[in-house]
Amino acid sequence: MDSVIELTVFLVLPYVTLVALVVGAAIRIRSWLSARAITGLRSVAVVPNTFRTRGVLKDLFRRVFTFYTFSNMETDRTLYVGSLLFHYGIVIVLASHLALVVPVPISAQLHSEIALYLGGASGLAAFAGLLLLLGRRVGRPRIRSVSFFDDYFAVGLLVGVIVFGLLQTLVFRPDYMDTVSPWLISILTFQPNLAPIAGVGTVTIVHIALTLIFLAYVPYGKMVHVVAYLFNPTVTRTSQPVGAEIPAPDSGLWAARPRGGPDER
Amino acid sequence: MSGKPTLTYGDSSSVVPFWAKPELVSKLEKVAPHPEGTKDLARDVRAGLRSAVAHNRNVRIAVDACVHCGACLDACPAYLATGDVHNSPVGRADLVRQALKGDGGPLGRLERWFGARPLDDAGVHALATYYYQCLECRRCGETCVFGIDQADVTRSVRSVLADQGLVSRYVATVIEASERTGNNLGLPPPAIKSTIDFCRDEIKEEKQLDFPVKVDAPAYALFVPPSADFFLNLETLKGYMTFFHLAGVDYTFTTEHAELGNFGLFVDEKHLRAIADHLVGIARKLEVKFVIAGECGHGWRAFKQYVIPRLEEHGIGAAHVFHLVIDAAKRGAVKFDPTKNGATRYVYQDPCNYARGGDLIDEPRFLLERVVTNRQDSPHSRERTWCCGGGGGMLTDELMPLRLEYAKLWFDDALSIGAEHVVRPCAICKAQLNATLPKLNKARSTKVAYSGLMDLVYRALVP
Repeated sequence: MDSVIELTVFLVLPYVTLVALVVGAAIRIRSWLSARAITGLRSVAVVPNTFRTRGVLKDLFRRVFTFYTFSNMETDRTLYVGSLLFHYGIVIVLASHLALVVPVPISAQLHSEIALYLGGASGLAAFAGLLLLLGRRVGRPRIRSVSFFDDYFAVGLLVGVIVFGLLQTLVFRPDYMDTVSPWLISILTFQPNLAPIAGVGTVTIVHIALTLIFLAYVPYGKMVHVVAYLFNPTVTRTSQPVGAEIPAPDSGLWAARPRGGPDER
Repeated sequence: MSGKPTLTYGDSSSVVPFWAKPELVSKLEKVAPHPEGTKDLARDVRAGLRSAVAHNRNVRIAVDACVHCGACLDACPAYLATGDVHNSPVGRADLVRQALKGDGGPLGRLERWFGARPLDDAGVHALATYYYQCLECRRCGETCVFGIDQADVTRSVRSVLADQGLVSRYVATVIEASERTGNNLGLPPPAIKSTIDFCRDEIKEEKQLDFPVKVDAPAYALFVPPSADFFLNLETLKGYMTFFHLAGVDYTFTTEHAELGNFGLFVDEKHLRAIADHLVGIARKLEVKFVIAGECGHGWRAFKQYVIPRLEEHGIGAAHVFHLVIDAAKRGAVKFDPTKNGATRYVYQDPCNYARGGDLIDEPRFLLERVVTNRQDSPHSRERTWCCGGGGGMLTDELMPLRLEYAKLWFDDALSIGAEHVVRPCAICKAQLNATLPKLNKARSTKVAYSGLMDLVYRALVP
């Protein structure tokens, strides 16, 4: 029985997820690129005076790293705080997972401590942010009224992924560098080898299974927001300056009545 | 008065615009012919929405990227004023989402199993009602972290509805007048000329300046104000004329397209283009080298984002009148005496389409600083400005209950800093303030006045 579960989670699901991710991403990106019209206007930028590519990039950078557009909302602080906590937490956690497939030149002891303290703290921050956002969604009638199955499904999966991830990092602390890491590398290099991960704890199995289901779902639901906005013409294109080139004082524009002189015509 | 819709907090569905009658709709078809098809309204609207989602990138991204975080609820004047979630950016978009769910195919069956109901005619009318309560002020786009511009979605949805003959009577009337006469109010050339002459007489009396004004005559530049300036905002008109005279600008008015406004922007790209292309045609016919825009928010956005690129194709330059006043002031070609505008506390409130879509934020401030002595920014200013409450084609009597609610946001803003005079250089703002300020002032026992910016320039200009 164990081997059926392990075969499903460690061999079938990873490749199903990979296919779902690639196909889904292709479908999405194609649909974003094929929609070309922007209702007849030269610029639909939402940020004023972004006349240069540098300004657009600067704004995108601020948008992503500071969530500044949420910073002075009229009545709502939870969204700003929750978004910052969750996204910073989850990004650090995700980046840390790279150590599973990319060799890092540090001792196993140090690695383990970084995982515990940095990983644990980031995971807790992400979890706290997520609970704040979920609480806001459920607790505020106005937000609840614009929440749908999709919103809860993605968040529900994430709660599971994070809870079981935190259980590993903070409570069970299994040795994943000799089990999960070689297995993951074998999957990503298309030479699947389930031997190292055989017999891994249930918490790890659930964490991996939920993560794979979540990843497979990413291109089909709201999680595409992570890349979709990069295709949004309102934040990725410049506007054009007007008024910078007013005809010179000696041009015909200003020729009707020389200053101080009598009326012409 | 009985029969008027009453507004309860949390439900604004009772305030519905009058819809254009078939005769009026058929007049608009000259520019935007309806797609061939059967008269199954709900089905055709759904097909139109599906096409808008497929072809318009703004709409596509809005549908795909929105995570329903509700930040726009907190930014939207329509939602904050009415508390009706369908009268909000995300709520309106949800009506579209609902309309697109649950038809055809296995996916549709699955969605129906989850409770989706195919769009019916009542659904279409709900869609139309709420999409005509949107001010298209773009405050949602400013707050959305992904920059999702629901005002653009509004324009696309209204375009789909207009394709099926469902369009606000007011907006349709204005577009029809504009396409037939060259201005929104349908003013005939003699009326425009006599208004200009009337203003010349007033300037003569008030400023002791007497000068000729070109109308439909050859000149270096063509000047295009909103038609409301020939009707309601004569102080603004006097401001332009006096500035042009003192700075020596060689310009002409036109009676053939006496309109900066472009209601096509509110509804349909095809009308936006038709009205704007007519203006470009007049500029080419008059062989001007430059076109100057007057004070009008949405008109400026249409001008900047559509007309100017077209003019440039023909080697014609363009700018807002503020750009010219600033240029002349910096050179010392015109002088201001700010004391002429008294000690009144003026508050500048950015028109939406200047601050969010027109890149005209610092220019009016540069001028106001020089023409008045006591000025302040509104607490919600620049790109966080409140809409006047009449934008997006809502400047019509039957929507007055909503317009009054929307107006309270900027009115409270102004009162909070003790403003005595609100400056909004936009024809729609001025018309909205003209209609709502008396009521708001009465309700709060205040005496807040309003004007454009060129009105104040007029008084401050040293002859």
